[in-house]
Amino acid sequence: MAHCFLWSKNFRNLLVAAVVGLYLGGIFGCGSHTDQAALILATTTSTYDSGLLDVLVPKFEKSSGYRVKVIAVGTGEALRMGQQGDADVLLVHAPEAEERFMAEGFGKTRKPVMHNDFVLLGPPTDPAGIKGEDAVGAIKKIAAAQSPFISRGDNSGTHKKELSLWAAAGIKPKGTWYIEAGQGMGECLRIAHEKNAYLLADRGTWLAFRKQFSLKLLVEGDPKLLNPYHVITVNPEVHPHVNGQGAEEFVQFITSPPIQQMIRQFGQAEYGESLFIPDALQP
Amino acid sequence: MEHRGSPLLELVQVRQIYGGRLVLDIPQFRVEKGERLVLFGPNGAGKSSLMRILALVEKPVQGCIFYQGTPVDASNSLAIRRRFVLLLQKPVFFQGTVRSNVIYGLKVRGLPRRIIQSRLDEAASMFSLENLLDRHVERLSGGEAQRVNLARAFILQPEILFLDEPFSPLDASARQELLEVLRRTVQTAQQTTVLVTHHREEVLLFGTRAAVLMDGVIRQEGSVEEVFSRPNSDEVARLVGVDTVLAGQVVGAQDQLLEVQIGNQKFLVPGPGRPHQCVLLCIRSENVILASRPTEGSVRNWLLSRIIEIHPRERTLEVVLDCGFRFKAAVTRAAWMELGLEAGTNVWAGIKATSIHLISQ
Amino acid sequence: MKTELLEIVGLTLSVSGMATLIALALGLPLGVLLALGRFPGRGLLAAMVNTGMGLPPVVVGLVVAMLLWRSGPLGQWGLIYTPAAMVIAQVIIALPMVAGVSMAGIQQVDPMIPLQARALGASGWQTLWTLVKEARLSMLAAVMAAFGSVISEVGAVLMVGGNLKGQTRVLTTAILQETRMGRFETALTLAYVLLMFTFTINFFLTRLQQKGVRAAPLRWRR
Repeated sequence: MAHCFLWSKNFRNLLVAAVVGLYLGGIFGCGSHTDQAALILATTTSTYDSGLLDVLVPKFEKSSGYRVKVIAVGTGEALRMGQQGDADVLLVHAPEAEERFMAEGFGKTRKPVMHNDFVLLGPPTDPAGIKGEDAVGAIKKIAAAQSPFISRGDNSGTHKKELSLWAAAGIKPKGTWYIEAGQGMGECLRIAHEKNAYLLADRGTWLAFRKQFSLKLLVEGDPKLLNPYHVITVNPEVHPHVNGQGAEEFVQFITSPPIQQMIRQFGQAEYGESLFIPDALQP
Repeated sequence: MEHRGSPLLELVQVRQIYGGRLVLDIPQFRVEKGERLVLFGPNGAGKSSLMRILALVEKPVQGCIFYQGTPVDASNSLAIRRRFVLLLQKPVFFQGTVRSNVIYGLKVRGLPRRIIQSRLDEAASMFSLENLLDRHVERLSGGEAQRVNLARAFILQPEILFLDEPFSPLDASARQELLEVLRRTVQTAQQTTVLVTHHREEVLLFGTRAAVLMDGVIRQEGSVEEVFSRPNSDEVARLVGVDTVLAGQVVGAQDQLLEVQIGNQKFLVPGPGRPHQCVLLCIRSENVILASRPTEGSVRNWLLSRIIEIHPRERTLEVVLDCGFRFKAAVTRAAWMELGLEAGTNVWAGIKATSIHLISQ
Repeated sequence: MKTELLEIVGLTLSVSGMATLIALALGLPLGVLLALGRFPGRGLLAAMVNTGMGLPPVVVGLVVAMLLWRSGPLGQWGLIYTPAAMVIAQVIIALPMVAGVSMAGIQQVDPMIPLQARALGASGWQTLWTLVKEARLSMLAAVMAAFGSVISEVGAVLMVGGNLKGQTRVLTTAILQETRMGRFETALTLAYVLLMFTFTINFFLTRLQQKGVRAAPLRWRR
């Protein structure tokens, strides 16, 4: 009898209806759930690739109860997402663009979180002789020697930093030596390695990849090479549907002393040095 | 050693195997210049296989082929093959126009454009293809396709033309008509031709010489006349259309004829034969006459027989008779009416001694 | 932007075109061999070709990149991040497709065709060529399918080409980058250009196939 019931037409229809119902419920249920308890964090690929968020986000999810969706894009795209209300909170590193974003009223809260710095890398032979120069002096020499230089060329924070250096040097880089890769940091390191080229990289990615490549760190420590990260909440007055509450909680969380301490310790075990220097506790 | 002119083509000790099965076993076989040779046999006898080997498009697993006395090998087979043309049972065309199909053979031979053009004009008028040349082969009717097929063979002016059951997609009357035209053409041109068929009327219509194939073996070879009138075995006899084959024994001789006992009847037939020898008598139904009583004359064998069945045929009636054994007679409808016979009645059947063919066992 | 677009389109067409030509030159004989040849390992090779038709381009890209890196076995050729590297990767993607489709195409040709060609005096090579010509629709389909797949492929060319502006940037990698940068308008323009190419290819491909269907009845009537 049970067998008959299992394969009766009614039962199968019921089963189909149940499956379809569950499926649709899943889709739309999740949608409504997002408004309540999900938090969209737009950040840059370099931050994401460092692995820091893999440590911090689960902690935040546990303490706050929100589910965080990390969207890793370029800084420009992250800010655009904030501007259009596609994200609730941003973790980005493009100070000028951030200030414009705040001034235009798209952001509510903006706090410094941490910084890392950029470094100039090149072939061990250093054909342009940039070792010992400051950042601007170094790229002037590269341009003068027409040594191959890999540019991210993707509007990322790193790319913007590089462009600001060229601007400071008063050079419009052009020619076959200036190669615009249009790819992520890791790929660009690979390309520079293969092509014996110079490039600007963030220290975190460099530390993660340096064992694989023959590139050498040639210029570091110049204040112009600092890379400050800020956390910005998207203004709920502009986009009422954003999760303003969750965003503020995330700012509280990431600037809190225990988390700031975790940021300082992140990467030390693996690379022997900090990838990020926490900034929130300093005045 | 007797010297003879080398035949155009000769096979020696040729065997062919398909999928582990011996399909052809030919100790010796020749194609002579100018003849119209017919390979005749039932379906699956190995006719097509033999023809493909003769046309050098298929290699036997064993054996030698000689072309005018020269052994065919890898170095000369292409050049010799190009002296021949083989047309398959169903015309297989290459995609494209009639023109490109007709000149295919000339093109692969690398002939100059000028010659190709003049030969094409010739062939097109010979087969009335002038208006078809630019048509795609997909759009040809059955008859047109056959003409194109012939044109692309004749355009090559082959030394030997091989035809594998030609025109087989056409009905019997159209096929015979085309074959008749073809025979006249090749006869005029003294074209050496090898034809494969399983229709005996085509053998008679076309051939000068016939080879009967059965189960991959040549059972009989000779002029068409000889094969049809003097088959050398029961199977060949039936294949060439002998209606009645009777087994008997030579019991004596009379007037230079042998006396052969079959059942209770005795036949007088032309020799040769020894007493007590087992023989087969081949009797064609058209050589059996029916009469109400034996007549004086040249007919030496008279059998009082009972009429069993009557089968109407196109031109005659086939009458099955019994006189201790069964045999068949063919009579015209007029003769039948005159005699006023019907099944179950008795009649005298007369058979001339010379019309009986004797096969020694 | 306009000259840059032309540059990208030019490189895209020449890289994918070259790859298709090479794949054709290698894949066609391979397909013919697989269709007609009887040799040990034929079944295995045919299975490999069929597997290769579904080879993920990203895997091809990874393997080719690892071979061509300076540290790789072919590093001294200095091909990584050059159009040549992209051609190599695309050839590997297109080759099984050309071989597979031409194999199937040859196998679909009336089996009496080679016999008829020989019967009319064609040599071995001429018979083979006739056979290939009979399968020309499939061959053309193979070419176009191969070109269509390599021109719209992104994973492998990105990995071995590097998306270097003015050097190895093709339509697909440019679209990817413009999207990442949030420049959707440019990305859409590029996507439109790429779509035009693939549409044109598929348009002709479909027409050819339709023509093939029209031409077929005679052969199937038998």
